Amino acid sequence: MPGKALVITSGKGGVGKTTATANLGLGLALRGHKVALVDSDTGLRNLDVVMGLENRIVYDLVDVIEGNCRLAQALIRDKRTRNLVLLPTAQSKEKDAVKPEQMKELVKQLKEEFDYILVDSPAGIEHGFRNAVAGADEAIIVTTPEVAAVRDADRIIGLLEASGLYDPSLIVNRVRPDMVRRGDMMDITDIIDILAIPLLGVVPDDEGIIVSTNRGEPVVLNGRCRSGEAFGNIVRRLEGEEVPFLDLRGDGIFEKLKRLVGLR
Amino acid sequence: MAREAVVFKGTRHGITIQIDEDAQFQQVLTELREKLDPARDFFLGASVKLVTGRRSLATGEQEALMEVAKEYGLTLTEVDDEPRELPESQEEPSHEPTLLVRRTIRSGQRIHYPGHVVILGDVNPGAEVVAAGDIVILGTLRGMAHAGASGDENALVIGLHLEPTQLRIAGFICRSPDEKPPLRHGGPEMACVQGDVIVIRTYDAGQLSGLK
Ligand SMILES: Nc1ncnc2c1ncn2[C@@H]1O[C@H](COP(=O)(O)OP(=O)(O)OP(=O)(O)O)[C@@H](O)[C@H]1O
Ligand SMILES: [Mg+2]
Repeated sequence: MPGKALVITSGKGGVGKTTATANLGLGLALRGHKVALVDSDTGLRNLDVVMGLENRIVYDLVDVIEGNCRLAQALIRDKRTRNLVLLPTAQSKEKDAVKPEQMKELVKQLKEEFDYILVDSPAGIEHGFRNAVAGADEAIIVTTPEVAAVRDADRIIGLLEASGLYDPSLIVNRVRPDMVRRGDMMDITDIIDILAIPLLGVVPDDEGIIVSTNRGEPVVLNGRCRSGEAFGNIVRRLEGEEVPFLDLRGDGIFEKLKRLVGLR
Repeated sequence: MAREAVVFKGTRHGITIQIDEDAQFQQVLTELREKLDPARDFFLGASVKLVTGRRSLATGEQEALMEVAKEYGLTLTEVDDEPRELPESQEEPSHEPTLLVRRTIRSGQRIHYPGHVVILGDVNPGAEVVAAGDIVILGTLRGMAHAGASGDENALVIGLHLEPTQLRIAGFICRSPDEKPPLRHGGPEMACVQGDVIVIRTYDAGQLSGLK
């Protein structure tokens, strides 16, 4: 059975797509799935840095597309698990060096060998976004609890529908329970109310992520921190398991949410 | 300028694309793209009837048209190549065409229609619905709605919840209060022009006939 390609996208920049891709990819691999991560943010490479694999890059996505190397040669094996590979993007090439049809073909090839292909999308709705979604079977939208980010997420959901990708799921990242409690931050229920797509997970704002990003050690490796636990739960939900939402507020709101959004 | 090779029409049966009988097929394709391009979001998800008149499409031509249509997110439902007048000209004003949209209109998407619009879904912030007639939203209006856009002050906006960023009827504009309004639980709501302001109140079917 061929694998499943998921694109991780957002519209607004800096909301945590790369962080989510790295953590979900590593999480899935550690649970025994064969995973390929594809960085499609040509010109702004950073998935490799977050994964701590930067020093191993020889070839990149554009090399594969231009035929400078075979696909297998460009895949970098993760240092923690043999189940995970990364296809880095080009740092120095033009943004339009890759066409959507080429991307589609490449993802198709990866699907023959891997269970999950996670494509890290660049911010925005232009060429890079169209490349990132080209081969995807499903989409995961990342947003932060901010009005502008939610607005852009909504725009992306519309654009995904236009390219035939229906029913994306949602990760709300960088939630600060204290601020939500004070009413200074958008409530998750407000966000779901507008976007009307299933909630895949809620990730707290966590200093641990910044530390781990700088070290190239995704937080999902560390089940003791809140964000690591949150990503671990998302991984299990991706596998189809029913996992209750972390109760970030301490008043059961996330339990209520589960019923609200009808998560399987 | 030469005769247009492609003409869009809103009729009571929905949108039709009429293709000139004598135009070069290549010209038809080019013009179709040119016309769809600035209106990308407008046609998203719409289904459109193709009218070819006495022209008969060569093999491959219909596929080529479908391909372009698909690119812009619309579906060509029916190819009508009978030589026939469009019924549009016999329309009485009371039978304005109505567009039914079965999805949520999301940020950046626009629906513009020369008749009434019914939406089975929400109209989200950053989305826009403009209609010559009434707008009925079986969902929440959070974006912008403009009813009676060609000047009909009797036009209505009806929705399950009206929390628009901005609402317009004919030439009247109102915007949401800067403070978040308290949640109303009174069932469907209706916006109409009263005096020289737009008011939003609980929808009451009984009052409707008296309004117009
Ligand atoms: N839950 C979190 N808590 C704290 N910091 C976070 C969290 N998630 C992401 N960050 C930080 O936010 C920054 C942006 O994250 P990331 O690079 O994953 O976003 P992105 O959506 O991929 O950005 P871009 O659009 O530029 O590709 C990074 O510095 C990251 O460490
Ligand atoms: Mg990124």
